[in-house]
Amino acid sequence: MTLLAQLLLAQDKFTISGHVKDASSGEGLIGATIYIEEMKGGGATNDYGFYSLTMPKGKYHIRYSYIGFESTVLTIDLNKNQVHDIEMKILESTLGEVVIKGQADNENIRSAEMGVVKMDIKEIEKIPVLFGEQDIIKTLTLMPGVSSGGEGKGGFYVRGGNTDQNLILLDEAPVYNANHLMGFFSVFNSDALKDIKLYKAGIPAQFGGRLSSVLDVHMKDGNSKKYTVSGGLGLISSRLTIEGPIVKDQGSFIISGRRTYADILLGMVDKDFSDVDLFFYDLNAKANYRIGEKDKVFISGYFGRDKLGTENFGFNWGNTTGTLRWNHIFNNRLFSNTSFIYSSYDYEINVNRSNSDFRITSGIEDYHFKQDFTLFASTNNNIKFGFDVIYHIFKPGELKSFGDTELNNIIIDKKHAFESGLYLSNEQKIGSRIMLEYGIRLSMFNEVGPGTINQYDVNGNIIDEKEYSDLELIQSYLIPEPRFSMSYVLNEQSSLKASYQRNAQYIHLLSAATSDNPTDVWMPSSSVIKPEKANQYSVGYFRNFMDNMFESSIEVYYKDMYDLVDYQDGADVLLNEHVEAELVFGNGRSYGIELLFKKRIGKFTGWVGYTLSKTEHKFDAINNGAWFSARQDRTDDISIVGMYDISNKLSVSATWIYYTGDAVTMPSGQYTIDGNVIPYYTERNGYRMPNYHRLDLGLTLKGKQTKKFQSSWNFSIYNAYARENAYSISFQESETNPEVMEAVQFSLFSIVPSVTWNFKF
Amino acid sequence: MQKILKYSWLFIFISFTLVSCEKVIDLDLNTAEPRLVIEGNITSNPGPYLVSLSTSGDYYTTHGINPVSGANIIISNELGHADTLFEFKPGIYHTSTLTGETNRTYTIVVDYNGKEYSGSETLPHKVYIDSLSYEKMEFTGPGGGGGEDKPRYSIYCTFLDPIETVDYYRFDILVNGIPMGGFRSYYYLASDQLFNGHIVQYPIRWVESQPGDTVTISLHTIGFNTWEYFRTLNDALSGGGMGSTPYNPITNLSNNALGYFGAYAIDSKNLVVGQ
Repeated sequence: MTLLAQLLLAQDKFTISGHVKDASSGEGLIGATIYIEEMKGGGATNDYGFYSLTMPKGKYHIRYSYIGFESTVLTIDLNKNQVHDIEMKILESTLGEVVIKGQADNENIRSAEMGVVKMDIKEIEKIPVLFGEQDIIKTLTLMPGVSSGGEGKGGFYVRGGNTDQNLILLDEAPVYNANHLMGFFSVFNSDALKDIKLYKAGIPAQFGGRLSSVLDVHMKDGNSKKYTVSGGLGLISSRLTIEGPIVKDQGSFIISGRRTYADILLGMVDKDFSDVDLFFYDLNAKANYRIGEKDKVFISGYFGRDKLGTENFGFNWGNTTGTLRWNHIFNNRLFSNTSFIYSSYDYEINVNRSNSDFRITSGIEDYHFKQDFTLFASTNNNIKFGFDVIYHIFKPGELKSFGDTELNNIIIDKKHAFESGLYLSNEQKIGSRIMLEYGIRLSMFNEVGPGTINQYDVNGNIIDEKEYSDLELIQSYLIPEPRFSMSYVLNEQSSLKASYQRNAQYIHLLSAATSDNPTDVWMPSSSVIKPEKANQYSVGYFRNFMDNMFESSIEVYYKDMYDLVDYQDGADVLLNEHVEAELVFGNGRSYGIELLFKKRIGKFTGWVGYTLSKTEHKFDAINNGAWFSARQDRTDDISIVGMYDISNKLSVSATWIYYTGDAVTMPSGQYTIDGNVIPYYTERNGYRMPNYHRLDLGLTLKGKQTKKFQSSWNFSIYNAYARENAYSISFQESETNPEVMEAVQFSLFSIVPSVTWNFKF
Repeated sequence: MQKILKYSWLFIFISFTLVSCEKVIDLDLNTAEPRLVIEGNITSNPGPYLVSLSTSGDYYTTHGINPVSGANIIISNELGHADTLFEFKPGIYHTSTLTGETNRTYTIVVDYNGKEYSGSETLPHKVYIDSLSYEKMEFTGPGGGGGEDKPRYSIYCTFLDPIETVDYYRFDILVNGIPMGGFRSYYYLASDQLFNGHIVQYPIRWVESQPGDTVTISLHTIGFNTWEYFRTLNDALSGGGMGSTPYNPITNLSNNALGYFGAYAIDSKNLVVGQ
């Protein structure tokens, strides 16, 4: 505290602060680096493009840099507090251009951050994808330590964690189900996105609530300079984005939408499909306005839904989020953000047949208040603190019948809980070699009434029942979560890093299937379900080559997980009031080594990533209590991504991925019951699916570019060498000898070519 | 443009549906120690009741039962009436004196190779079928057959579900006296969670028969353990290919035996289906 007072009261120090923006659109740049040559150090802009540096009186050369933009150097005489808003120009690459020295920096070497994946939206645009639908989640799974749920399975796994252990934030609002169409696509329309960051480790203390990772996605603010319309026509979907200033350089808005039209086209092709629903849509909207020099407000929202259905059956699901934010600069060293956040996910099944007419609904709803402060104490200390409170409403499910149907309604009691967190962290530089980031998060979870709470014995029988009134405390948990990471700079090109973190997770996604489903249910921690906890330890070596043109890293991690939740075998999950009695609890461990080699700039860019890892679970009630491979245990996982700009107009790209097949359960014997052959299983996940590999190719051709209009064609080939990757393996009686079973592999996609036309004016 | 989109979509649709492919693969499976399989039932119909004993075999071996002979099997009720079973065919044993009564609990004890396996189940009360009716199914979906040469019917089984009890049902279907197989190789099961206390017109869909055939519906009121077994047996029959991690059905037998010991009350009715 005395240190803090000293820092604040030091009289001969002054502050330079301001915002760093993209000169063409006025978008704030997140994570732009500010380097002060005289200090051999500096800082970076925060999530709103704001920076602040406090230094002794003097003359300084300040260099602002951001990948893909021309660096700007400012010379100042710091004798009073100064505000400098910087607008940076996009680097226009021309054919044969020599790479400008200094445009890439060694921030990755210096910062204490490790286990962090940053994605550049422009890079994502070039990577070939299924049906040409750009997808940030699919692209993230090309990085080491992040693995995909598999074709048509949705979700992603980070360092052995389950899919529900990723906190997915869109403008701070959690997105509870990030999948569209059974996981073939994600809910993120990249046209509306500005910045993507995934924390695999070293999760800053301001984030909490999930064990494995934080995917922090920021929406664009909208162009504050001029109106633009952009969009694309694809084979299965089209997109349109409109953005522009509300008042020039004062405020802006963006509206971006996307809809698939498989159903419309099917209806045109075949009349039988004319009343079939099969589509999803996304709508992102955001506006911001600057009130004076010190205040800025943002309002943003996301609405997305999948709809499937026929005449007498309907199934739809989706997320709705809303964020209202207020940035306030108390003084040029204390930055504040206040957020009100709403998020919900729900699904609905409608059946209307003559004698069964009913609707099933379920979901989760959050009201969230969050207050964050950043104190730019000095060039050596950057302190963050704040708190947040979430009110969760869980709707496990209800069935309502209509008409003259003789069906009972089933309504499973809603559950309610407060999840709160209080945090303090500091980013500290010691000398020129050591960077530390340390902090603590105190998280608390309170399940509250109303509701009837049951206790169960080991056989699932109710042994106690108690009624709770509104807001009456049912169960409370308090968990301290220390976070620590550091880097030790060996020289300008290399550093050693280490981190430790403890995370707690209070809400759990219950999934009966081995992949994510829209009908999976979120449940709170309770007297039956304990919070999940994890410790992660990691160390890494980071090395850049050739003036930071190449970066590489080796990271090793070990993670132990406690109180994981799973359904017991044969759990009765749908509309079960006593679903807690169907759960089993266990522990997990995951360890691995991740290698990344990346070329960041130049005509050719890309990376090679390799992960060698092991993830195991241990549940008393599963596999006779012995350790078994988790579904997401992938021994080897390789991604190779290459992008090459042949000319200003033409660029090509390719990705190749390979991974060890998923751990699955298969029979080790058979027997006969009632004339049917029944498989006999001995161990959990004792087998492997065949190894997966695939090559995708992409080509982007820019059309004639005028000042007013730009267009491009994007061609891609998914699974270029038509590898038959296994989606599932089942067993059936052999066609040649029905007395013997045989294994049958089912694959989804062969070669899938696609084309998308994009425009902007 | 519309035309291009239309044909492009067709192309994609084709690659989705046709290019996705199935093929038989060689897949090595482990072998496991054979385990004892017990299948026995007590019903509300008069005895004798059968119990069959066999062992599990390797997965890829030829189907067929490996009968287990020479076991000592006793079924008793809670009143102390015990019946020692008689092996009349290899691996098939029958009762002699026992008669299944509703609302009684029965226990089986199998003594084989020095190990004892046991399980209990309660024979529930009987629920009577009020009437049956049928409706020809119009839908001819992929793999669903249908059409004029292979018509399918929905049979509606109407009965009054008792309000004071939690009831579990299994519907068995005979077409001209032969158990329906083929398209559906799993059990039609229902619990009364949705319709407790109501008169239900329960639909049994996809019944494959020709006009003029006699369809027999047996309404089995099954004990809770029997319900748990068949509910999870359905998962095993569907192979667990996509949904949950596959597992062995939940049994009420001890000592790691496979199979189940079930009890049910039966009421049957016939119906002649028309056009």
